[in-house]
Amino acid sequence: MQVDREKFLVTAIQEPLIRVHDFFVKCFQALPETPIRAVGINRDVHFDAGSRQALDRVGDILAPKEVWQDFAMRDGKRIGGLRSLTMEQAITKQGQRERLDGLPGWIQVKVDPSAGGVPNGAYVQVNDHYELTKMGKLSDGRSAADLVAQKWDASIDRSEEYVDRIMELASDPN
Amino acid sequence: MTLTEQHHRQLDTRYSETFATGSGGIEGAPARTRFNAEVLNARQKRMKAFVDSTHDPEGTSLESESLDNIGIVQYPDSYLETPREIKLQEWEGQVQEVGSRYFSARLVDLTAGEREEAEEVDLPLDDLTESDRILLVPGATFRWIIGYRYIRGEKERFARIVIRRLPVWTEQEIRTADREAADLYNALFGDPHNRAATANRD
Repeated sequence: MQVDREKFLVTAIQEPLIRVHDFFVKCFQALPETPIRAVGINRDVHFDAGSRQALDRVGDILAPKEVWQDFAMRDGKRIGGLRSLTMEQAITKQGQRERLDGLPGWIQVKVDPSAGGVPNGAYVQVNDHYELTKMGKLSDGRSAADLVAQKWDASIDRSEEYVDRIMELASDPN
Repeated sequence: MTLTEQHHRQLDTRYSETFATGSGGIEGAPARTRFNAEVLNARQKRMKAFVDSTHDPEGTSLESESLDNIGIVQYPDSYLETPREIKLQEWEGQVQEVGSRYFSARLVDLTAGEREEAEEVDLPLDDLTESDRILLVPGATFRWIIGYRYIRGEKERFARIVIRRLPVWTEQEIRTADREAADLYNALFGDPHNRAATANRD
């Protein structure tokens, strides 16, 4: 857990992840007047693709090397590849990004090679972001607690699904 | 075994986090921390300017502001290995009775996507941590996880019981419970408004 004047961060590195939900909601039910700008429910996964070929397959599907030609491949040898990719789901309305559930915010999925010491590792981060500021006015702890209580299960299920999709790219189609 | 399951077996560490009001994040071992007041003050001003404006909002993604930029420098004391865990099965349980060595509970199989209690089990009190023991009362809700973990390269099976520190009910949950209670009442005894209308007609 990390708390400073600008940020309240709760992380779980062991199951059950629901502990993060319980702690966050309980905290802000007890601190309902806390000014809050935004809430993000994040999911971070490092996974072993199984082999270097499988890891490259993930990168090649997400960023086809035909587009990059001799930037990424030269004389049949790989000289470059995907370093980071971020996809975002949001609809822009009047200059603001809106989620599919109609709330201000976005969902971002980021894929990187893993720097976490995992052999042939890929890293997937899902940022389920809710913007709570309205017309420059901050929201409060009560609203943040209600939001997380309402959105948690669906958010975790959705992020599992996105991570599974990326993991499946590593499998050999043959 | 499906492809997804195969890859779950290769899953390293999954974790979730929730944070509010800011951006950026810290990963890694516990550390001594030094604060650079000048940089922190400058950031306070930037954040205030942001809130006052309607510019593109700052994200809650961990990487959106690096640690260096917020005036906090960490000195890792030692490398802390995060165990890789692979969850095989998860239940949510409700404690029924607490005995001297075991407690009984009804379980909902979350892995199977079930929503209602369909299983009963007796679990040893020794599987609970000491801090959770005092929370073990009839009606308490807990999660029971079975899986594999890798610690220092060795694979081992684990089972973990964690008593939930449930938040108080939210307005939405109270409304949903009221609606479900009304639906159940109507299913058992009929809609009271319809019954009144029927009685008047008689």
